[in-house]
Amino acid sequence: MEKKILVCEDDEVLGSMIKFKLGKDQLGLIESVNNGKDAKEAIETNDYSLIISDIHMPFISGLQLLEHVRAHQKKNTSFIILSAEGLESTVLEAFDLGVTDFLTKPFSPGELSMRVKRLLQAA
Amino acid sequence: MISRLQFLEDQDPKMIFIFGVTVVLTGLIIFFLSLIIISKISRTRDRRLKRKYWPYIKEHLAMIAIQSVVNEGVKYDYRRSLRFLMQIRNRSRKIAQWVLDEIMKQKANLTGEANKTMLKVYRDLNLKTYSLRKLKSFNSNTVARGIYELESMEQRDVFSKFYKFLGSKNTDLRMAARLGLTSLAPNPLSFLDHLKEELSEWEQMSIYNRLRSKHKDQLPDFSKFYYHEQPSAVAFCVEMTVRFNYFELIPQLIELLKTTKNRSMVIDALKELEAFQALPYVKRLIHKSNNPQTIISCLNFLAHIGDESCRSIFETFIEHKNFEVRMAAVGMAAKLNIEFESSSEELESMLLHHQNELIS
Amino acid sequence: MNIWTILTHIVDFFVLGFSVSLTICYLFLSCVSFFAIRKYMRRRSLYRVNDIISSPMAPSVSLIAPAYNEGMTIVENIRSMLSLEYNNYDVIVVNDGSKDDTLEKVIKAFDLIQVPLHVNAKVSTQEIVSVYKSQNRSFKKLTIVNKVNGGKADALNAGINVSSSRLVACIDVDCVLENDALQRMVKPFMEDSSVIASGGVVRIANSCEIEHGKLINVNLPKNMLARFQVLEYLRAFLLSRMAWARLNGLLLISGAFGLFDRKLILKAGGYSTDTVGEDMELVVRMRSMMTRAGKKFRVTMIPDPLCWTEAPSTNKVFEKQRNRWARGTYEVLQKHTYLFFNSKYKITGLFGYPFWFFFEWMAPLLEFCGAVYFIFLLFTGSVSWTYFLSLLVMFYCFSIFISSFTLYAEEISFYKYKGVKDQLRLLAAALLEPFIYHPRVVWASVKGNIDILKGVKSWGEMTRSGFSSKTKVAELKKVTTISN
Repeated sequence: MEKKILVCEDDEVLGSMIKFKLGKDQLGLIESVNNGKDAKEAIETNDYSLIISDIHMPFISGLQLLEHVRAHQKKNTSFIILSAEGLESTVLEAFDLGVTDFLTKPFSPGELSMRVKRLLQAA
Repeated sequence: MISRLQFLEDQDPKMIFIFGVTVVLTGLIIFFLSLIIISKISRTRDRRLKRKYWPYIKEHLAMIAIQSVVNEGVKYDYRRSLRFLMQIRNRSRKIAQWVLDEIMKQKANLTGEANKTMLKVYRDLNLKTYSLRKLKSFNSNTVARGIYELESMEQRDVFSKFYKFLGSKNTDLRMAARLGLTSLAPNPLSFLDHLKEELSEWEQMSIYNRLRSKHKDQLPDFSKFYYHEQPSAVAFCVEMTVRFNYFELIPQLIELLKTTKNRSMVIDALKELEAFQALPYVKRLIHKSNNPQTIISCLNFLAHIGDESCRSIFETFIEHKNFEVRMAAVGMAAKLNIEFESSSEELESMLLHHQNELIS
Repeated sequence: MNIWTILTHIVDFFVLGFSVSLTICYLFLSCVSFFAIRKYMRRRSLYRVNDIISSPMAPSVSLIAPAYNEGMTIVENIRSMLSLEYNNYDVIVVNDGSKDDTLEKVIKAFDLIQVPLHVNAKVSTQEIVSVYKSQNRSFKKLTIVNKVNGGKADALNAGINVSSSRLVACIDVDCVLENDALQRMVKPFMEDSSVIASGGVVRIANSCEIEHGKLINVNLPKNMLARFQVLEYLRAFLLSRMAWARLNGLLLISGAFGLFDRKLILKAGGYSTDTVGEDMELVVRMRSMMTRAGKKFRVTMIPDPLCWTEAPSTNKVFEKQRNRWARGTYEVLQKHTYLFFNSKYKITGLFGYPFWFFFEWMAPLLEFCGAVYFIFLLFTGSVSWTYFLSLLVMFYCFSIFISSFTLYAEEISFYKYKGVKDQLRLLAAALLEPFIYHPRVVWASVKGNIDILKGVKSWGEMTRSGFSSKTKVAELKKVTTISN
């Protein structure tokens, strides 16, 4: 069965680029949304192996999304956060909430793809 | 009584006055309403233009970016995208600005190949001339915007053009020029030599953001500015010493401690740098100083670096009249595990406060 | 000419003079506000959000929210407060002796545990019973203070005592903050070290879509009363306060959202608990304190719509609110009478205070007197209709002018009500306002002033409601001496 990946990124160009890169590397079935509200709805109806999310999104932030995912017992879902702020406090908070990996913007899509591959293999 | 007759006369000054004010107000109402309508129309036109071009701009830039990171198997023609962007760039200055904004945004998001590609697009679309044209504008905001664009696109050859804006009358423009120089000039903080005004906290933060993206050997020697005439510049450089972990500057900081007015700032910096060398100086200073802020900084420093021998210091300051000093003294004792008889209710409560892990 | 004629002439000229100065003041203010907004919007376009949210150098901020019987919504509200886009802040919720299950709900939802926080009561408040922090590290920003009931001002003071941040943001617990609220509010403090307080704009949230304490969609209220208030709030913030902030004469920072320098609030003695206008009173007191100390200072305002709050949509609640505002204004003015045309206090004394005295406090009373006078003339049958009608037209034009300027200011700045329909609705509200809405405002404020005249009773009631036994005795003594 193909693994499902959700990309939440409010910047369309970046979102589509991540989607394309991951699809190209054949990592799974990739869906993308551009705000936290849609992301939440998508998570409620689908079962994703991996969620990649920006922190600052309209309506619901990436951290809230993460908290929501962890609160609803989806323990096996991997969660990667992409963020423009690599502040220690934010990173710590994200790991406290149970994030699997944390990438700081600017980032390279190649690196992201490698990390995703490793995570999915480990799972 | 306001008689009826009175108002039948034409020259009643009150009526003329009321009439005049009403006419002026009506004129102003019409003026503002038409301004609203004009602004609405131009907004609608903008929106239409945006709806027409925006998706294409995004799509083409996305394809260019994707192409740069996916090495093989993408049959996409960079030149075709470029030709398209070039075409719409020429339509109007507004569209050119949109393209530029999007390029800047993507460049900030990405590193590696994709980042370089965005720079290439900027160069190939010749958007640099647009940014350079802004520097010639009479509007300070436009100039600042131009500096910002050149700075984000790392156009290192133009930094010398920024110097003349350092003396501008506009605060924002002066700041933009200084930030531009921080990013682009080979010697990032060179503008500090001629700084005559206070560096606001906002600007300090912005400079730090720019320095962060630099390699360590591009960073200046911060100790050069420890004796700057502007206290804010000194504070900034001391803070930078800490933020970039310049342990080798500890001796200079200790030297600064002897002369500076703002001792607590320097001691805080020494604490962050774990400068045990400063221990004797701090122990001496804490008894000499009568500035509560300095004493608190010293106590915090000792809490971090001191040892059992600080007991006498603790005993001196626990009686201090300033609440914060007492609080810091107990904090130090708690941190250094100095045991003492809690003689008062306040002391007991403070100790509990400091021993609790949830209160940070 | 008998005395009667002379008297009416005096009244006539007084009314004219008053309206002329009002018009001139507002014309001047709208000019100032226009340039201030334009400048702000230009500067805003140069601002990059990432600059501050990714910086460890951002100053620390405490959000202080007093809560009284908020059990229904408190958990949602706290969650929303914890998720703002700012990296160096904490949230202090002060439970002001709620009689419902506010505290229990919060303890359960956030996994709280009592901690022995040592509070230095720099401003004396009602006793703090306990302080709670979360055991869950992801809520470590949260502190709950549980104290004996003492009213909003007292709760805010307790929160300020507990805080150790450089800045404190005093907010209403039930208002919805935009995600970028703190970053925008902090900016003036970072740009200029002489800023002592900064106010935020409050907008009306009725009929807006709100989910999990976050604003999703902005709508114009369907309720007419709330819609008039949208216009009124826009006018107050975009025209009046923006201009006052530019002139550095701002006297009022709305209690719903304001950011202050914590050390200066403490130095000024915190919020005063003996007035219902505590938000304005604090700013006025801080201003006069700074002037007396001979220090340069600035009170600024950020025109971005950052805070959304539910406005009263029924007549009864509305009247109660306005009644309170009128009393608050009076109390503040009365407490600081020394400012009246006092050149020592520069713009505060020469311009700010008199403006509030004449045009905010006295204007509704005068309008009311005017209406009474008119009815009196009607009965005596000596109304000069031309004069009356032309006066009416002038005032009407004045009101429409102010509203159209406000709509224009909103148009060039934040443009929250999109769509031609909403714009036309707002315009219609502006046209109807002088007949339908304005009389209610005037009436409520007259009633407020009548309550002041009843005086001692209402004042005593207020203090009695929230003081513990020991202070109550002292307060009661005070009341009796005053009534004697």
